[in-house]
Amino acid sequence: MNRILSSTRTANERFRTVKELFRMLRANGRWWVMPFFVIVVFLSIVLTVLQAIPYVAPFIYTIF
Amino acid sequence: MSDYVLGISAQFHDAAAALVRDGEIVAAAAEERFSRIKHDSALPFRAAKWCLEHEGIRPDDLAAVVFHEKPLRKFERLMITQINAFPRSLEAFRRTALSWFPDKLWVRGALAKGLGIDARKVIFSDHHLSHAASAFYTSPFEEAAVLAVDGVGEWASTALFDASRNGIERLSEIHFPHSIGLVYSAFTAYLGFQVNDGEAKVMGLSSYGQPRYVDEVRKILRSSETDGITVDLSYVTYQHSATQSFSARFEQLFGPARSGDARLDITTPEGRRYADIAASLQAVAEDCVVDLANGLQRQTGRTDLCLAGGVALNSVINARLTSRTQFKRVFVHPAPGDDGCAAGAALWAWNEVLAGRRGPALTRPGLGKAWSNGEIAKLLADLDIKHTAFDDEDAMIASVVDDLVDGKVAGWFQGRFEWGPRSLGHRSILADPTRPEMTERINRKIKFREQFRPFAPAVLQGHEDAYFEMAPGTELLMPWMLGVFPVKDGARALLPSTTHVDGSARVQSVDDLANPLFQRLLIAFGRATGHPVLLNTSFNLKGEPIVTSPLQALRTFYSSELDVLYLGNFRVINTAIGKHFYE
Repeated sequence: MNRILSSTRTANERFRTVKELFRMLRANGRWWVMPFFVIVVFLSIVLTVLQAIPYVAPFIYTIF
Repeated sequence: MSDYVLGISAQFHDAAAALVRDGEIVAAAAEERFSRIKHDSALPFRAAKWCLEHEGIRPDDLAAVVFHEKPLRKFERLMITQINAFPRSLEAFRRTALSWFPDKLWVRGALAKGLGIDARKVIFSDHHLSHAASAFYTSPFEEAAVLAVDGVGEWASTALFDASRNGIERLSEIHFPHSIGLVYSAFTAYLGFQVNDGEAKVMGLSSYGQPRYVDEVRKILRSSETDGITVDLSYVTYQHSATQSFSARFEQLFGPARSGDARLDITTPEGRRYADIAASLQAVAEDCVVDLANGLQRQTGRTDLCLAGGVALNSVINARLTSRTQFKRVFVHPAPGDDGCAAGAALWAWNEVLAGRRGPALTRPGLGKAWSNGEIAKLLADLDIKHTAFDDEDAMIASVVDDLVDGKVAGWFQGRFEWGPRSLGHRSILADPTRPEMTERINRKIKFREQFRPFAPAVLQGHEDAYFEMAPGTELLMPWMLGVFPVKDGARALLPSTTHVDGSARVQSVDDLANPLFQRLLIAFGRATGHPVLLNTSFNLKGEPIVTSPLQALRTFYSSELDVLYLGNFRVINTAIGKHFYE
């Protein structure tokens, strides 16, 4: 139960941070950065997952 | 409202935590002192936990936890810079993706979880505002101009402020990639030293050279009182590279870069060339800061200046500001680098967000953890280390003086460790500065560091003028060892091991407010020798953080050729038997 609560809290915090980031980019007239942000999020998730796989990790640096 | 605010700096270099109570810093420590990782950048939970323990409070007792910068603004800068420089920024982009998404972007949640507090208590300052607050709110000034100069924060590399009872008002700022700090770091890398660590070595090396390359350095870094700082970006690469900070054109201008692995011999033409480049950089950096300060003085009309940011660690520049500008006095916080931002963030929040009453000026550097004589005695007994115990501090001081007069080099571990990068008489290595052999002996056999690096003198307050040519208005730099001054002609032969090759010294003055025990030692040493001056250098080995605990002091002691160690009221001598037991 505690773990679920903790995960929910973390997800809420992160959602709040992403909202703040998007709000800031829009306020600064840099809304064009948002698509790049989405791409970076996607790539970083992929990289993080791949780096956690022992057989794949040594090749990540070479590929990317 | 709670009286406590915790400041946190992290995620770049020199992470730290600082606890402010009722507007006064009561506990502060860099994370590296606990983690033993030099310039540790991780969120400083160990330092923060110790700060709370020191005051006997729980996380719930904090009014706020203040992070030293706005991470989203910094992330925005990284994204935009890397998009603009794509595809050259691919490697930097990879590093950003791997460090920001799993970790740095979510700092609010990480702080809340790590400290066990409600995330709503976490607030964010601004990097240069934190620097400015660290200097202004610990200075004795009611109002002052504040100049914060470093590598880069969110977007700014330099910010100019006007500070008064109404708070700190930002007047203007210079944005990345135009940065004195980053250009200085690019030269640091070119000269074969580690960025964010070797800048002090460049400053030390500059004393051996002549500024023959000033015109070349000015091609890269230019300044004016009205326009601030401009960098010619064709010479630098830090704006799109995470691993390389100078370009091929830079090497065409100055010649091949020095390999960090090669020994730097300043007696060779190649070594002299590097020293001349360092001297030229130092001269241009000084001109830049002077131009900024003059512009700020005209804008504000203030007579007192607070200087903050990593560039304020350049003690040569600090000491010249009152003589080269209209400012009458200058103050620098003892931790002017990013570690000091922890204190600045907390002080800003206390004074300007929570509207608390301004606290007193900072007078002592010992804000870290202390160990009691009882704890030290237990450790020595547990390790079965032979030692001499003194009944009181007077007897201990008399013994230290005897050892120093006898030509011994002493480890000095007393009270709370220092806030900031300098050893100021709490975790120090001490020696008699009148002995010329000390510089080489300590560099080669105790600290294992470069031959060209100088040692600093600690002098009893009131006796500075007997040895050093002090510039008016620089007195406030002295307690923190943040000013370099010429040694008087007659004193150079008296203090050979603390007089640098160019006849200068980075002076620390000691009074009873800053460090009463160290002051008593200087008085006793002065009575014995006629000179109340000691060689004072940091108690660490090359590449390691300054010792924190008695156990680390013993490890450093037995790893070097220090003769004697004073741990509180205990004296340990460096014998082969002791070394054997320790190992």
